[in-house]
Amino acid sequence: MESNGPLTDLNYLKSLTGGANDKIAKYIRMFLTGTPISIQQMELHALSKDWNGLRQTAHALKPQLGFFGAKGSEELLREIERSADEQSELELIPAKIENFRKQYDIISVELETALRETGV
Amino acid sequence: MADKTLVYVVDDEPLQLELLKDHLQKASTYEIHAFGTGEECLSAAKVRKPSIVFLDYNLDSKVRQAMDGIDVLKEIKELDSEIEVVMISGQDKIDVAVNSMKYGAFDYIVKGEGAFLRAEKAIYNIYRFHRLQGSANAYKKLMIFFGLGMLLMIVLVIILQMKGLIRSSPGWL
Repeated sequence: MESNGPLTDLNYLKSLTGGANDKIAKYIRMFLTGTPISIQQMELHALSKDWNGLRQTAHALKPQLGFFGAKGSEELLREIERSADEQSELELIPAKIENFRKQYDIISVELETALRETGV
Repeated sequence: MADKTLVYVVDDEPLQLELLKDHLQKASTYEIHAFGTGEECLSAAKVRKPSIVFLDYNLDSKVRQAMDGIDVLKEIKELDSEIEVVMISGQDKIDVAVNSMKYGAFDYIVKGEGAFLRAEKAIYNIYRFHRLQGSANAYKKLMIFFGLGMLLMIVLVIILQMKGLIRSSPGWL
């Protein structure tokens, strides 16, 4: 994983909300609350080889990354979803989930900074 | 469609749900209600029927026993076939879209950055469709009325002719 530059880009969210800081703060808080649960669910699904459950969780989380401009992480979730759906390259899934968790750690720091900047 | 447009938005992903609800509220004067499950939406629809429902295709991603989008779509259409349903999904697979249309969805939107604008466009298209349908129905009624008028006139001419009240045939009889 390259660490050049931020993983997130809030331009889309800013244009969608018309720059309303209260809305941006609300969405960031919702994302920061929900995503760790989804990551935990993906890990549990992978451990129990519940590929359909893994596919569904990755599928549901994927567009949310896009809202925060985290395109690389969105693509990683797409790969996890595809592997689970096609039941291919299953041996790579735990490493991909771990990689996603690491990316989320960086994303959450970036979003917490953005949240402070909203002043809400 | 009702004067005050009631729109229901259903998604089991709270962030997605909130974003779409806020966007539609900002972009319109519609009355928007958000639901986290299809069951909640159906209960509300039985009390107050919406004009439009934006419905997530995968409503059972969090709770396995929850109704999925297609089942909710079928029940909405059974409740009132006039309620227009726009399916939303993160999948751009053709079979998902075909399945949605098969059970009466008006449109199908793929989740992502363009989804909110497409949702607005879907509402516009629904209105345009209903307006056109209204015009077509009015035109049909007018044609039936005109046809009946012509028929009455022909019968009247025949009667008048038989009674000798008019002398010659108008030519087209």
